[in-house]
Amino acid sequence: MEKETFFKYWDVIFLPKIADINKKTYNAVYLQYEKVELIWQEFAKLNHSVLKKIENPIEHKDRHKIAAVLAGALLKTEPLFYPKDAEDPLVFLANEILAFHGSLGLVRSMRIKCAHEEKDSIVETILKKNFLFPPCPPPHEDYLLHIYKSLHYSKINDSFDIFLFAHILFLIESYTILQAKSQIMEKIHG
Amino acid sequence: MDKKDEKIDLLESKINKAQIQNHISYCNSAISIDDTDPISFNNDYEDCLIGKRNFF
Repeated sequence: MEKETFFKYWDVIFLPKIADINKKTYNAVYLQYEKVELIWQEFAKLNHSVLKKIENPIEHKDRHKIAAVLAGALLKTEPLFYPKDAEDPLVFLANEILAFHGSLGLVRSMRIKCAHEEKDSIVETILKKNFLFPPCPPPHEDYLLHIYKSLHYSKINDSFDIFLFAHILFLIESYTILQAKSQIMEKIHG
Repeated sequence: MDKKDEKIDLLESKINKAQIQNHISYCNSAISIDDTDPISFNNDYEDCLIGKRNFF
């Protein structure tokens, strides 16, 4: 990914999300602008060291790994500042939410483009709506909560696994497409 | 064949084609991320956190 592309994604996907989090937390979170360049540098470093090691490095095809590298760079850089004694998870998990949201947004943009190129209007329509997640019935916590927590722990334990997170993104995308297709079929068959 | 049947046929053929080509959950297009325009993406995923304080 070129630097220019990174900043395009930053403006279109990340900045609106930060504004959204700020709105919901009454401005308890704020972006340290000087860290945005550091995210890019960290991304480039990780991208070089991780993706080049892959036996079959078809980088331009593998949106999940690129998105996971970006999430890793964001978790390491922590561009969002918040009061350390914050009790609201929306505040103290702001960086994790941003990492998750941003990586999904990147996967989504690329997948929609692929579907468009392949004239797969079904997948294009599905992903233009939103992602779907597996249900976790009570007493289990929401699926997203598990994701946010695991990102949080991987951050504080310095153990974020790019390949594993890429796989999670792949599974979320696959689940969304299969589940939405199944819903469409159900609707048609009435 | 009415419109509903046509729709079903079209959808099923697309899904079958996707399964055969293994496209159902993966994309084989050689598209570089630098050729991709970011699509604005906002959601309320974090709503699952509202009201969940001290959950660690």
